[in-house]
Amino acid sequence: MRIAVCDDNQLDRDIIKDFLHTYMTEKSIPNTITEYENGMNLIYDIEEGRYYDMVFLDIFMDQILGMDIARKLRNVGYTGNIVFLTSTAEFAVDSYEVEASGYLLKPHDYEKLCGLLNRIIDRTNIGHFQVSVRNTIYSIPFGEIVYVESRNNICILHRSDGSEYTIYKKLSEVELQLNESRFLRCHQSYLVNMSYISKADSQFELTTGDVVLIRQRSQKEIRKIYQEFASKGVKV
Amino acid sequence: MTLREFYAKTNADYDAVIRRLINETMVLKYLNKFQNDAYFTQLQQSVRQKDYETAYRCAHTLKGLCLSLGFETMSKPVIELTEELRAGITENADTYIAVIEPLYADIIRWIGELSE
Repeated sequence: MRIAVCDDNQLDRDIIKDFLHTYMTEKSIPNTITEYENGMNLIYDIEEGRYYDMVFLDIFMDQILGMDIARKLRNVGYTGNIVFLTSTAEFAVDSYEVEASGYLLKPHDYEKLCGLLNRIIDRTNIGHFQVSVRNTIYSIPFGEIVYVESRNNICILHRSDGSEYTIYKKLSEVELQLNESRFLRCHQSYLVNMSYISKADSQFELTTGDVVLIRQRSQKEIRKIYQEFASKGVKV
Repeated sequence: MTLREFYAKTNADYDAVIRRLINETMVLKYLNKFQNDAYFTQLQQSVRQKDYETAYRCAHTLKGLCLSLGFETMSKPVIELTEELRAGITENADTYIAVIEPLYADIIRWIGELSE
């Protein structure tokens, strides 16, 4: 995920960068974070074709208001997420005009930032798996993938709403695409989203009622990975 | 001085600050950075020079940092000064600076007394 943090105060930038880095590490999301002290430099970079999935903008900066930068970003065609940072809510109404994804009020609060990022990631294409069925492409949020099983040369993706999708790939290829710590290759034929495990013994029982096999010779290690994951309380 | 003792002096809830800013290591890093920057000096200078536009920006930045870093006692006059400058009221600015100055000096001294 490519992220820009634009704030004229170094200490505020440091705090947001640390928060983002911690969040992305916890979620195993690859990321690059670019700092901007000046909003105009951000606009120039976007105009020159640089893309960010998410831009964090301080509302109140030295030379130009964050809200004006947001308007200019939209005017030059930026379609990614914009999140405002501020210690007053006076611009909250204006943020709708630039289709902001959120608003973080100071004091800085890591849990609030996590909540906002979870919502943004959940409703955007970040962390989605694309499946093509006939002429339609489905974009499935990682959080809705319960497990993927391999059958002969194809895979079946099981979604939380009960639907199933056929994927014409090897399970090892799907595993590479689902590169988040919540997904565990627990068996030659199964890749499971550990958020859906309800019981772990010689096999995994899932909250959907399905059962996923565990590789016989590595049962201990696999259960340990799951225990570590479950102890972190990671949400779907 | 421990970080918990530091936050007892700034009148903030230690646990709430740590929860907001992830852990003690992070908080100590931010406090050291705050100590090495001239946030209050810039505010003081701009009020002295009657440059109230700059003073408002400085006060606004300092307000955000006071809230984020848990400087509860100091945040109150800083918030009031910010609100007055926002409203274009400038006649009390010198009085606020006189109130904030010793509170800021305390914070800087306490940060210096924090054990590694």
